[in-house]
Amino acid sequence: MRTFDHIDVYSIAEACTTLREYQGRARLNAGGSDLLTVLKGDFLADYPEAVINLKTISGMDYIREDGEYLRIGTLTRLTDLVSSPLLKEKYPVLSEAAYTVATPQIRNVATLGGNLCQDTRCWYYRYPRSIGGPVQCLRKGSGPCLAIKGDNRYHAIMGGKKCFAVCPSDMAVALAALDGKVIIVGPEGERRVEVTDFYHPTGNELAKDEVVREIEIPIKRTPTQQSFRKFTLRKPIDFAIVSSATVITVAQGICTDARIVLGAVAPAPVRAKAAEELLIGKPITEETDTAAAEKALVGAKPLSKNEYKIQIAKTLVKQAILGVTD
Amino acid sequence: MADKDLKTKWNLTPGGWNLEGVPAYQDEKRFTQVGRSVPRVDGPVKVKGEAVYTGDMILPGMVYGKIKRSTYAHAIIKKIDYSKALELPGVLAVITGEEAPNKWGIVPQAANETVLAIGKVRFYGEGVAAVAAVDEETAEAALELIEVEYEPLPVLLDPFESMARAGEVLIHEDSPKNILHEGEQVYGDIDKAFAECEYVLEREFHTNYPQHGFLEPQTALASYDPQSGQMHLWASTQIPHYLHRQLSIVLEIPMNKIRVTLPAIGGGFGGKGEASIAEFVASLLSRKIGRPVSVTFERNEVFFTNKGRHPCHMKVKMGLDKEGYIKAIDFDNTLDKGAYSGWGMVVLFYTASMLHLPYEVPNVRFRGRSVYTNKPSTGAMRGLGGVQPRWALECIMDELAEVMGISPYELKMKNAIESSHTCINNMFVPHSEYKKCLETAVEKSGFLEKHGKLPFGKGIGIAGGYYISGTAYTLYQNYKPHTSVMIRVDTEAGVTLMCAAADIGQGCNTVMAQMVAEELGVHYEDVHVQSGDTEIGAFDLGSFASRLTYASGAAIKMACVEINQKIKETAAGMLGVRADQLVLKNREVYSMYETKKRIPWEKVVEAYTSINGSLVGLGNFSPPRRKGIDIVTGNRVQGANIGHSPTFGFSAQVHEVEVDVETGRIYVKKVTEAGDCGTPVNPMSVDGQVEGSIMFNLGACLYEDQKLDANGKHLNPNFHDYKTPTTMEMPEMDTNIVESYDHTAPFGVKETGEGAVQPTFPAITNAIYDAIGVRFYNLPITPEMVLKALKEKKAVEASSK
Repeated sequence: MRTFDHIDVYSIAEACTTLREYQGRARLNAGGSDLLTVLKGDFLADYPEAVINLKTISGMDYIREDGEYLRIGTLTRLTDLVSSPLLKEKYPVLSEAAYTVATPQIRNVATLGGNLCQDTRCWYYRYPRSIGGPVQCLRKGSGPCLAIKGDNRYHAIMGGKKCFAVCPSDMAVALAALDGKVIIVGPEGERRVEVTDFYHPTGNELAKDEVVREIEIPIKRTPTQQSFRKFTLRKPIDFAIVSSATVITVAQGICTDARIVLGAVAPAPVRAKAAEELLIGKPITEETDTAAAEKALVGAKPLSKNEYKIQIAKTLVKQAILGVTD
Repeated sequence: MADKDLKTKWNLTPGGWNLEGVPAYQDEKRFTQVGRSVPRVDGPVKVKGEAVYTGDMILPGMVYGKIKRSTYAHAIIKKIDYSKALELPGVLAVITGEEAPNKWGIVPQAANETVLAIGKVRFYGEGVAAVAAVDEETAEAALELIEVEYEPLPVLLDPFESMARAGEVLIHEDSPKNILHEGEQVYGDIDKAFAECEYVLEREFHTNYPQHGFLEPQTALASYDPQSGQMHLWASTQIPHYLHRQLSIVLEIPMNKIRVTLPAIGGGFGGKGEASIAEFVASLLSRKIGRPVSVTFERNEVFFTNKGRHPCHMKVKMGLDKEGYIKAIDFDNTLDKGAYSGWGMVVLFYTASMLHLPYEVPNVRFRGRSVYTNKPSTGAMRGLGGVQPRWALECIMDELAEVMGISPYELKMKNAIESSHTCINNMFVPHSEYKKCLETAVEKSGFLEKHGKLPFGKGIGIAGGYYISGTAYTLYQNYKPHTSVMIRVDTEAGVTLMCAAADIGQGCNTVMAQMVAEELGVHYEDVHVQSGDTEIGAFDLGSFASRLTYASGAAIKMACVEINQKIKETAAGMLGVRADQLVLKNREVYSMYETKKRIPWEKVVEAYTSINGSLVGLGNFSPPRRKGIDIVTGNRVQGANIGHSPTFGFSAQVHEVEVDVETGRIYVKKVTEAGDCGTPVNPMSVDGQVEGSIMFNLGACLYEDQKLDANGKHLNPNFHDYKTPTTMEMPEMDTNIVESYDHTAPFGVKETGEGAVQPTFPAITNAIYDAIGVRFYNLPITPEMVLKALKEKKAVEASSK
């Protein structure tokens, strides 16, 4: 690993100023579980001059309800999301999603903000420098996406526009199903972005001097059925091949509201709105469930080697809606 | 095996009499130290993180070496300019291939690798230059300053393409067909046999490109003393001797000026069964600058240099007579060698040899070729040469049993060999409990009650396998013993075993201590083992081919003869009895007839050494050379010497799987294994080896595959994308050691480290068929393949309705 300056900051504002000072040549670090592998692989076009340590900012790890919103601080560790009694009771989709991330060791350091902002796992993008990397690709600003003609078994089956890397974050999928918003702080103040809009085809919404401060989730007045499903090749450790989060409101046997979100199928979490519409106003049965799962994948366009993800995605949506457990 | 079984079977009364009243000396199987489930000697330090690996070592003045790697899979090197790298402050030396042009390779007849590429690169990631610098960061920065100019050549990644385009592109100029070696072995009359068969089946099987996944990357620390010309290399290797020999060739230093020492080793599984470029580079740089140089591979370098299992493309034809006896096997194998020869020739002919067991096969034809491609070289990997043909044969037998309408268990039992079996290729098996393995696995798992009767999605499969034990031939022509040991006994150090065996984590230091203790009549805890050093220890070929327990055991027995004789003579005088009537057991020397005449063993040692000094015994072992020569005519027989072995270990496995038909994911739920490892020297270690073996190939069967892009770039050179199963994938395991004792083997031992990997692929594949009615002929069997196959099956069923 090459050398860099390591700067402790003590407030979000200070983080923004420092980012601005470095004009894009600094990277933020919270848990470091992703950043360290990025630095070791040295696959980015520019190696950062500085790493800004956010862990020295106090009071940024919290999970609390304030009447209208559930608020989670950006530095909240995934471990704390897993064990929070509040989340377990009222937002189980979040604690379930957090539990599927990596291993206990990684969850003990990884943060919610970091999970949302982690870099893609595309194996072309991450091809290490030490052996002929960094690979040039569309995501890095030059050349075509190498997955189109290459080995794309883990790449996008929908929503890919020139870059076919998928969003690796599990938390984003669960948050999208809860209508979560990302609160971003920059030198000019704060702004709110829907989780699904946080991701761009080749990166995310953050400007070079912005930091994620908090996640804001509207509190639902009626009880909901929530579930998170993730398909991986191995039980722990792996990133999702496909994931699915659902939050469904049922009144007198009829679905009155639904959020169905697919993960790892596109550059961002995908709201399956057609499937949601299909379910609303109907009872949840095997039949409507299957129809919704089919609907959720309408328009999927697999690449040469990832058609299998469609079938798996349908299965996960079905299981998530019915709350089927493994 | 449970502890209580051992207690009733092997424990002795204080007088040395067993529970049935038979004196211990009348029963060669009556052991006190062999057969004990003792904790591993290296266990505690490893668990506490205190074991010292090569990468933990720091010597005064030590600097770091790094390797510049090729960014083409096949290219002419036009120019290497490292002048800028040399100017970088902190850089001490740069070397290129020309500095060490002598070719190395574990099989000397085919050695064709140089330390760093000369003139041409043959795989993506091949070393082209190396740097020594004061720290790793400087060395890495220096690599970037080395400019290499290439002229790309066509890249051949598929062995069939490689053969087809040999007229146009050659990977090695001296291999005109892009073939390392091809061979044919014919025994019996195959065409006549097939014509007489009632059941004949022909299938094609394709295996994958997995890698060992040992945790400690290749690491070497070399320290050259310019005054004495002595090189000392600490290395993470399985083969201190072959490394020693090849260092001598490459460095052009006599072997007696090179010392190889093994610190703790973090696994090998065959991957460290060849010298590593890290070792050569560290040595060359150290000699150049006169300071110790440490080279540790990054994980991606471990993948780039590979040496994993050969992908095999196998055409198999098997014929049975009306009763189900195997009459003939026709086997055609194309192996993907990758860029350099390495173990290639040996692996090629092992896949031939493996056809002859564990079933009786009267007619066999093997045709095979090992083909060069522009991939990181393949090499030795646990179960070398056996895993691929075993998979094909056990799967085709499963299919044949179905055609015949009998249980695969019945078919296997019918054909399984027994003790004192001579194969058609002259391979001799002195002892086999293979049938007992099959019986035990079937009985314990309830196979017969479940097979073909489980609900859709659940399945059970059976397969068997075997492996060599003790090996037979050195890789270079030589008659010297394969293992020599020295045992020293005195009052200061107690009992010390000095040898050059390599404990790479398999536990040989523990079992060797047990065997020394058994033979000398002391306790395991009394024995010190000095191993893994070419200067302190005696000679040993290394840890591969499941040879150590057998070979070391035989050498230890021999070394103890001399020591025991002196102990007995001394004690005889002290006790006033005949020396030849003395027994050495449990730290005592006593008369087998007058059991009251006894004296502590230590007292005898004291008496002897106070007059004569230390007691020393030397022992060695050379395996019998049976297969290569027809002992009746004295002529060499075809098939050379590969696959022949003093004895053989066997294993049978029953795997139970669940297939999620919605997602294609396969779960191995339970494995029932029964193994014939002869006498289990350390039953707890046997269980560990067997469980490890099963997990090893469960990984390669369902998850692991190295992926290269069209340019030969490695796409998954890390443990994120290369999917080794974790403990979470570990099924319930029921491993059983069947009662077995090979009278021709020291202490009755056999191997257990590689036999148990053999049945795993086919047992899982057969279980998947039982679950979903689909047979797979490609590995690894992924969710993607399962979903596709189920879809096709549905379509076929729909159209046939």
